[in-house]
Amino acid sequence: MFADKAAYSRCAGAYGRGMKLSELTAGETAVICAVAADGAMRARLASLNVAAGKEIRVLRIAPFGGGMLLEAEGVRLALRRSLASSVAVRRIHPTAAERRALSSSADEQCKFSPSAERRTEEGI
Amino acid sequence: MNVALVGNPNCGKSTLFNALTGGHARTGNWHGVTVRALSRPADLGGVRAEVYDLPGLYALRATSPEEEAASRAVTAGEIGLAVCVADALTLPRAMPLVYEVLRRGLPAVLVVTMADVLRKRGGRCDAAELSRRLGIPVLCIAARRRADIGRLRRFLASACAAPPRAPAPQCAPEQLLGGIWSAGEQVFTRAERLLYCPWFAFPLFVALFLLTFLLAFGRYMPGTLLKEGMQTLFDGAGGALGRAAEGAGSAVGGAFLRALFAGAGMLFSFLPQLAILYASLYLLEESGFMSVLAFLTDGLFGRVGLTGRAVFSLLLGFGCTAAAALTTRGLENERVQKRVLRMLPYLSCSAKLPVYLMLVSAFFGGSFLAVAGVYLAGVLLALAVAFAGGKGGGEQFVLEAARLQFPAPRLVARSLLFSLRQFIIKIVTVVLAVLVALWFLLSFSFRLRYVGAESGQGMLAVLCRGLRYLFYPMGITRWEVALAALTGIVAKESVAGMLGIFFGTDLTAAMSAPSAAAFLLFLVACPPCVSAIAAVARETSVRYALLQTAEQLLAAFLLAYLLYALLAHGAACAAALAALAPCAALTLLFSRRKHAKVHRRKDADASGFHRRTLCAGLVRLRAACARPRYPRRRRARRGKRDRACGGGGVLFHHPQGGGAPLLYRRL
Repeated sequence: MFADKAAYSRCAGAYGRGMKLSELTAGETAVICAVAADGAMRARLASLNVAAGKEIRVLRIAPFGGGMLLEAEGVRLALRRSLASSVAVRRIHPTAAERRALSSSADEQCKFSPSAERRTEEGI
Repeated sequence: MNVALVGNPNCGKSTLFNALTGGHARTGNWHGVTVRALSRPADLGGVRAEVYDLPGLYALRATSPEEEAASRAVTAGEIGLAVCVADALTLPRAMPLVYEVLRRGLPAVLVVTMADVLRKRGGRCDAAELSRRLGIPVLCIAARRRADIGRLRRFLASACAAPPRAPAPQCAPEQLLGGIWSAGEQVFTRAERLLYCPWFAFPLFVALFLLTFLLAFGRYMPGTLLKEGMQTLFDGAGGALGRAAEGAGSAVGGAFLRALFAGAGMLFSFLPQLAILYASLYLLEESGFMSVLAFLTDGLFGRVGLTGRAVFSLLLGFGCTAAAALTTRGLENERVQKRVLRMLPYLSCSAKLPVYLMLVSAFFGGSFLAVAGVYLAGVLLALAVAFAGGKGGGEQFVLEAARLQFPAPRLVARSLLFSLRQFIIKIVTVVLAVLVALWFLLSFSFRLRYVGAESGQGMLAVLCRGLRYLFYPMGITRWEVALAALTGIVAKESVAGMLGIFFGTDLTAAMSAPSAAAFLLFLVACPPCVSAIAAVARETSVRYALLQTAEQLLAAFLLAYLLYALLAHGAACAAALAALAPCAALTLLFSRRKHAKVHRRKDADASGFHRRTLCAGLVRLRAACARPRYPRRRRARRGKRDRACGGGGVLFHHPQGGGAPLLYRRL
């Protein structure tokens, strides 16, 4: 399903905890692993900071099966849920220390070093 | 020199354009307000320049038609100076576009807007250092402040004098801003939390809607009081001028002046109410609440193949259908766009307001609830049209949510005054010309002799006699009404104007209350004016626009006939309809998707009809529960059958049923 298979397996397959953006609930934060959309939509999403490695937070979920209100590194956007299900993310438990660590080093999010990964996984 | 404003959507290009040129480009706090390039000459501190306002872009590689137009304008090479406009709050996102412009080798400057909001958030932006790193001049401004517009003018003048060129920097956009820009603290504030909550936002929207109508149409409310004042003024003026003309010995002139003032004065008297309607629309647009509505309604619209973005065009439809039709270009794809274009005529534009008010005040006591009901009928019709169009088309909905803000009173007042001025200009030119031409055609016979408008001997009266038969099933027998409805094709205001010429404000001579209701429904559903049809034709094709118009006309007549029949011959008609409705429903159910007629899961009760068809796809019904079907009866029957055929039968198995017995048959 995911076009960017390598990226998807890097975060989802290797650790088994990857999930779709549409599965998050309001208030949760996640790091995007891969975006499975065609060229034009992919570019549009990337210009709105929805691209691999970016941190994203779910602010609200619309009623009637509508979209999600997201905040992706300063950009606030609404996304239809069907589209959100084509974005693979890793949930990060938003403890204050972790959030600070994430915002200080943007590069680390992309690299997914196993030790850091496991730490966020287990919520230590 | 050509100066083009290039930048991301909703970063304030049109606001800058208006401030620089004194133009009236549409502004609003949502993404994709501008859908086509505009240009206007401006005086930039002694330098004459043609300023272009382009639709918002995320990158020069365009993904939608309006972006394509903008990127073509940038790449065509006719631009003398590209003014890159960037929102200070999302500066890193604007940088790739600036890089692309620089890579094209265009002379460019960077204007960072909303500097005041950034400062309020505790962020900062070092314009001098940014300018040094980019190699082009950079200016930070707050577009709402007048002093900053003056600074911008001087800044652009100096840039025009010596167009700055620079190669795109080598470093990545993120590194470029390192240490010179910070976003400050962006929080999901309590007010935003509340507004984005559906239990608050939808009631708020309905309350705003009703409040607008109450202010405009309620008894002893500003709208109605001002309207009465205007009416008295124009009546007095018309009467005095008419008497003066008659006193001077010209009976024809007196009649002409009276008719003119009756028609035009009645239209002008709607100005206060229009102003209230427009003001609430502009407040809605500037505050960013439309963006909230787009987010919240996306789920509902998704069910009829639309996206939340359609809210923008549909709400603008209450102002002017033609203007709203032109904004549909920003929608996701052609199917969504066509669907919105089909819905738009049913959302009553402000030009239909005068005739609604006239009918409502003559027959239904002028209550504001009646007017709100007429508008609601239009909304329901529009939804029905969207629903009939089927699903699919609007799967991909991405929208950047606008930042909520208090609308700037100056900007709202400016837009409001401009649209009122447009209304007056339209009345004075187009509508008045139509009314005068029609008055002439009505009052003079074919031999060009004055016969009077009421005599029924005029040219148009003779020609229009045939039209009235179309209105007989609505209980309207006067050809004047037919003629008034016909003039609506030029401008909807003239319907009210014509009725005013013929009957004054007392319409009881023309129709009864049920016919008035039917006529109102006809007006709600009838095709829009020529300019709106032209706008639809420009967005799609001439053939499509004409077909759509014909369809709407037919539907409008049928609906009006039906309503009149129901109101006038209520009981008989209701009985006939009640008998017809189940038949129609059954035909509909059976004609669509035959295989979906009977639906049963394995070992479960049959639900009779396919559940999706039954609930029309609107509600998610519970799945049929797995319950053995008639176990007792089946057991009894099996015993009987076994006895009848002496026990032992052959079981036929369904090939794909996984071994489930299909039927018993003795061989």
